[in-house]
Amino acid sequence: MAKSLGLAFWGMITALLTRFFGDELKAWVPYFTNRLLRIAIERLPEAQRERFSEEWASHISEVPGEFGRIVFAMGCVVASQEMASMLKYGEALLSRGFKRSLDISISVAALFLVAPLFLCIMVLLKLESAGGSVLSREERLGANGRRFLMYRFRLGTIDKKLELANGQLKKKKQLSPLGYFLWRMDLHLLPQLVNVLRGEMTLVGPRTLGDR
Amino acid sequence: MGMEVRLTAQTFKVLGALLTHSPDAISGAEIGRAATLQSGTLYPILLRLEQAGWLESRWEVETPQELGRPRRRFYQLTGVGESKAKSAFRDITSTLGGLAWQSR
Repeated sequence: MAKSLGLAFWGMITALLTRFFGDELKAWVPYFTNRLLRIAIERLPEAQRERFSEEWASHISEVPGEFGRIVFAMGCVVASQEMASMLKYGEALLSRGFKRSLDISISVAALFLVAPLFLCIMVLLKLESAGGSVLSREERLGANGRRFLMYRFRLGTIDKKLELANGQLKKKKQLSPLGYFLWRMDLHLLPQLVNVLRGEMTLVGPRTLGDR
Repeated sequence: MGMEVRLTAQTFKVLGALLTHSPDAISGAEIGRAATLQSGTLYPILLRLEQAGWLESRWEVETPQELGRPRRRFYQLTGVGESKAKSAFRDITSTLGGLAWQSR
């Protein structure tokens, strides 16, 4: 009896608290979102502030849910950072030339450093299958839709026979032990440094299109 | 002006949404829904495309007083933008052979 009374008591308290915090949250959301939007707007250059303060105010009124509106306002803070640097410097903070020179120096240094490893992997791949190629070349789209061949180490596969429930044998392709190791350690991506050196890829950038 | 457009997967989503509605102008909220992009990704892309001259934008015609709410801003591909977007889509389709940017 005492136990169930206690349970009812705590149940009531929890319900009240939930209600209280729920109401409280609802009351505070407009305040929070306004604060966030103001922070976002203030990061933009003077000339753009009026436009986006109205545009975002109108967009946020179409976003459903209190939570969604907070996420939207936080997104605006993120967006304003990029938009401000875009408008101020014409590009992202790092200029193209500087980024390219970073790419070249880092990829050259890295290629020198990993050269022994590079050779080992090439020898191992040749040992695994003498006829097979060491590199795989896949067509990808890079910056501005430029096409290029992306290099990777070829991951060897082996046929594995699987016995099905009805006793039949089924062939299944599986990564070879070496292939699995390279894939697991991301070592098969090393030849992409050559793509970076050639200016087709960059060390920090969006995923190439056509990638999984 | 003269800004380069970076054709990322997200940019393709935005262009796709605009091309579907072209020649009608649609609001940022509609583009966000159609392209399933959050504000943090969407607005930098819209601004970039606009600065590069692919897009133009204008306010809703009514005043905020008449509407009783802030005005929406509508986006529309320019002639140049439309042809560039279409050729970008052609390029990517011929390489990848499908609507890869629409898969989620």
